[in-house]
Amino acid sequence: MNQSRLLAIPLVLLACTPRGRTTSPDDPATKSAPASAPIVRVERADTATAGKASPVLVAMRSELARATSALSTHPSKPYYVSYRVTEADTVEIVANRGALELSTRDRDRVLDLEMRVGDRNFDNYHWRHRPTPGVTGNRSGGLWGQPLPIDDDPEAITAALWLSTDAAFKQATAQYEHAKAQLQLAATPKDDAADFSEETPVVAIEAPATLAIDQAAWEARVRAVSNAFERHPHVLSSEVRLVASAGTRYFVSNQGSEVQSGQQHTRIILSATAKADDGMDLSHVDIVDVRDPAALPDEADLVARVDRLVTQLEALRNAPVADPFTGPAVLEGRAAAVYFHEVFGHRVEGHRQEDESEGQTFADKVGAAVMPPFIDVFDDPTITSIDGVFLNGHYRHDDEGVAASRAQLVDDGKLVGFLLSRTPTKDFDHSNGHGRAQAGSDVVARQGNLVVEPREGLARAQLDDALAAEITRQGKPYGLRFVEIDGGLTNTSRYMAQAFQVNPVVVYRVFPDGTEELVRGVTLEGTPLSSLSKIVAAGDRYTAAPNPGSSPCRPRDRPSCCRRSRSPGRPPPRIARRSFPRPPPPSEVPDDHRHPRARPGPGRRARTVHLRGRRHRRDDRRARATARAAPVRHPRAVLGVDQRPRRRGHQRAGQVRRAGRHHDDQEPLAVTAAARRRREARRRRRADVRGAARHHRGRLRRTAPRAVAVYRRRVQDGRGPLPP
Amino acid sequence: MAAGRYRHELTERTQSAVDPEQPDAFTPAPKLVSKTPMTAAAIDRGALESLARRVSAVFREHAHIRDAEVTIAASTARRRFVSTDGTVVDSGRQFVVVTIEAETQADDGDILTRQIVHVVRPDALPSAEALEADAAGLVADLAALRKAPLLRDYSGPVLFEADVAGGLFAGVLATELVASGSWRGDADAKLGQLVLPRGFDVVDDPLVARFGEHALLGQMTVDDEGTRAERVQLVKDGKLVGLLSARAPGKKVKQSNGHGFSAPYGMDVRPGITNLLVTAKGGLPDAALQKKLMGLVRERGAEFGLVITAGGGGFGEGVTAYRVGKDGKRELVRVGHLQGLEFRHLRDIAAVGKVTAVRHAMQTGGMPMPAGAVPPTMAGFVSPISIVAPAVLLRDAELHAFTGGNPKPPAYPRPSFSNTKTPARAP
Repeated sequence: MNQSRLLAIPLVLLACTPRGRTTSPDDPATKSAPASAPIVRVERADTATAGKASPVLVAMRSELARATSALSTHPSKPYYVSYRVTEADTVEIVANRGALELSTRDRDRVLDLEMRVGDRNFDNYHWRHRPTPGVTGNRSGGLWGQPLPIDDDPEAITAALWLSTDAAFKQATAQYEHAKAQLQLAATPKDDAADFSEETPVVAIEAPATLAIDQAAWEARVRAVSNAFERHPHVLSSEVRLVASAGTRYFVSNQGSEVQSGQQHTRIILSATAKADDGMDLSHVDIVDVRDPAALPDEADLVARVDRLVTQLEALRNAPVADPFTGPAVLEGRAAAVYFHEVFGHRVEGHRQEDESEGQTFADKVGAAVMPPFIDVFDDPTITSIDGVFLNGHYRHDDEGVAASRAQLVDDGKLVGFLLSRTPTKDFDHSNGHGRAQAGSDVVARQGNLVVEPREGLARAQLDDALAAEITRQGKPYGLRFVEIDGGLTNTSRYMAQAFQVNPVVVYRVFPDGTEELVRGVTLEGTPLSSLSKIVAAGDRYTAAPNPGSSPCRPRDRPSCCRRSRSPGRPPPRIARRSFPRPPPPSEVPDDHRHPRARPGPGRRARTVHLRGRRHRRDDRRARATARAAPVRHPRAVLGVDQRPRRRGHQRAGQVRRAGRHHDDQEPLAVTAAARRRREARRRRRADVRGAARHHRGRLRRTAPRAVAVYRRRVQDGRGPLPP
Repeated sequence: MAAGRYRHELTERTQSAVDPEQPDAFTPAPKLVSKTPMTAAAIDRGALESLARRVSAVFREHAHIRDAEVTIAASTARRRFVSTDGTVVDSGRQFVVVTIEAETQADDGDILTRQIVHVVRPDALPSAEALEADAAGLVADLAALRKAPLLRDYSGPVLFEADVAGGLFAGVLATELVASGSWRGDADAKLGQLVLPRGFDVVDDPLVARFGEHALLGQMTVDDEGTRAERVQLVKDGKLVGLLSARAPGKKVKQSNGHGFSAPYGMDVRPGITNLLVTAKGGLPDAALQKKLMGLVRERGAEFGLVITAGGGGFGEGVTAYRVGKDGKRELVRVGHLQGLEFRHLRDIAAVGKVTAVRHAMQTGGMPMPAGAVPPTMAGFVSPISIVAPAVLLRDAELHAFTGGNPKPPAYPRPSFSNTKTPARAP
């Protein structure tokens, strides 16, 4: 991803638009209605079915008892042993353009074994989550990912458990000795949390899950749905993928916990890619999550989703490329959910608070305000749905045999808790049932159903008004509305910038007059503490997104938006079967496809004409002011340093000069015509973005003329401007 | 991607000196139309699952077996190839690999693993009784092996029995007797030179299904580049006279002889073996070979020689070996792995056996591998190969065992099996 120059501006808005429901801006009820608590209907359906212990659980129980008894006489006897077996029956069907690419059904059983030697204040896991510079801690912990027979043969399963238990015991005793030795080298950690918490054993035996799916019928359905992409010639690649699984988890521990639980999950993914005429790769995805395959949408509905997906992709192809921008924005639906998941959710996982290699963003912030006071956040895996929308993160017992419970994380904007497994952290001695692991991995604290709950919410129309007001207040030409995203990531490592990145797909510029314009190529970035503190308002309706949980609205912090890079490849050559319309030559670009800075605003003549990213500036103060609407600043601003908002179109001359020369947009308005001409000349030299970057590094004189010449040749050849 | 790569190569040529001996990038090949679609035999998955359960049950009642596994991998691959040369090829192959593997632990902690592998056509699958007998044999072998003394280091004459020699030749020759393109060594430079003792002939013949009494699995008519496969004389009377080649030519072998094999993950097509037939004049009976071995031992002033009867075939497998004392008695020993056996060491073959044996393996992209080592994801990219070879006596070879770091014996005993005959089925 190509980072352009970014500027962080404080502006936060929240907006929440329920899927398929929009409030009318003209509705007097919504316009005049005061902020109210969001309406939410939380369901906790009882989906558990009592069952009897399967042969797998019986084998686990018996071998655990035998191992515990046999090892109890050993000098390094373990004080805690647990077996976690994950059994999955998975059907995966993939089709592309009406043809099956894959149709498989797989079954497996995987053992993950945890063995602790020492005592719960100090054991062989001590350094797993506390890697300290200079101390070579053993982070491996237990024995994971061991295959077990899929036959319900207790003796064969027992023999496999025995082999893994023996290996785990040898590993655990060696790790414990190593941990003790390393303790001599490390400085005393700042907190004195134990290595393992005390919890009440739980016995919960539910029926195992079984997968009932007509694979042949779904093959035909998936083929037919994938064929729907064929109607759209600009789609380069597409795929329809169905993954249906029935998973049963078995857990036993020598402390008396026994859990057997089953759950189904079915997902269908519709995805497509296209390429804009300037080479930018575009992709879009639609995901449907349900429990039972029978609850999936029917074929007609899926085809309609394909058409909607491709329509949005087509619109993106024709949309202008977004410019680097910071300013007011609204995040809706899935965009809001992913934002909270990445910015906040991962950073409140309990084990990260002890880990010296982590950024520990919130480790010392319990009791401190981290969000505006009208925001509460909690994680509750016991919820099965919100407002009728199925929540993916539902479970009853976590992967350490602890009952799932609601974990209050933020109250009145103040941080009050963390997501906790049985790894305690400072001031938090007990698990709240959030110890999670996928098969083959160790347990860590993870989100389940993350819910952002504002105490006051605005109706949609009020949010739109608030956005418009903020745009005007900050002197921005527009704000942004993030509607759809395809994922995000966050870095929590201490050794890298504590930043997040969300990859939006559908983003609109929202102008003060209420018009909107789709843009493409946007990524949303920022830093968590700054970002969360800048939430201004929240919506009054919840939407749920499959992975990241549920939120009624999105905080929009100082979102730094930068432009995604284009791939070097051109759009594919035209072949006989399909035709791609040739892009019009630059001189014929219609007004609405020109750079939006050319858009005539209210009371302003259009003075700036943009042809495929190249700007022809005239000596016009207003045009420059318009173009300067998104000023760029020194990259250190990306980290969320507070900056006072600027007066529209003007710079504080003395202030900028003291800050040093960076870019032309930061220079104060000159008061003489000669100075204006000199500045205009400098602008022409910097018309090439790359030339501007060289200028920033003091190499303008040597390189700018050649850079501009290269740039002009590219435009003439129709290859578009250089990538930023 | 191809256009970009081509542009890059052109640019490179303007900047770098051109090697005058640089071979062409690609050779022409005649148009070929070959349609021999295979009639695939039906694979009964349920029957194979039952067979695997039955054979693996043999290991239940033996406490010294730590772990055991029976793998049956049936692969049916249909290959279609078209090219702008006008070549059209439609062919297929089907084979089944049965791997029986078991593991035990010696008292000093050494983990010993042995396996038996069958590579067969679906209609030639061994019977359940034969496979059970194989499993029982493995149990007995491992029981004896875990009690055998450890021979930590050995350097001296080694006799590779015929069963093992095939793997030895495949491991060493497969990557050497290929026409060198830009990615290979300099086998071309050895053409005309003595690379094996006099009397040795090596032929790769993809056109035959049998060699004497041995059924061969490497048969094919067209390679993966659409070139007709040919019989290639590689070594004649010890001299290197030919190389396996694909359409990326070597410096001296400039035409493909139909031995190009594709590999997964977009790797280049490379030449590989199919049915490698190693014969030699002056083969000795087994007793004479052993006598020759002891002669070399005395010549060297050593106490004993080594006979390898399993593994050690250049695939990095565990080796089963016997040391033979001056009195001619054999004693089973645990040994390490063969070290650094290279092509040039084959010139030190002191004697060969009279009788040949066949070893089946797999290859992908020209690289041979043990048949039991093929992951399911690569099934479409591997093809079975066969190597026929006599026993060989090497004047000098080294084996070293990596000791230290062996795990202790189990901290508590393995659970017993009350039900040893009728394992439960999957739900």
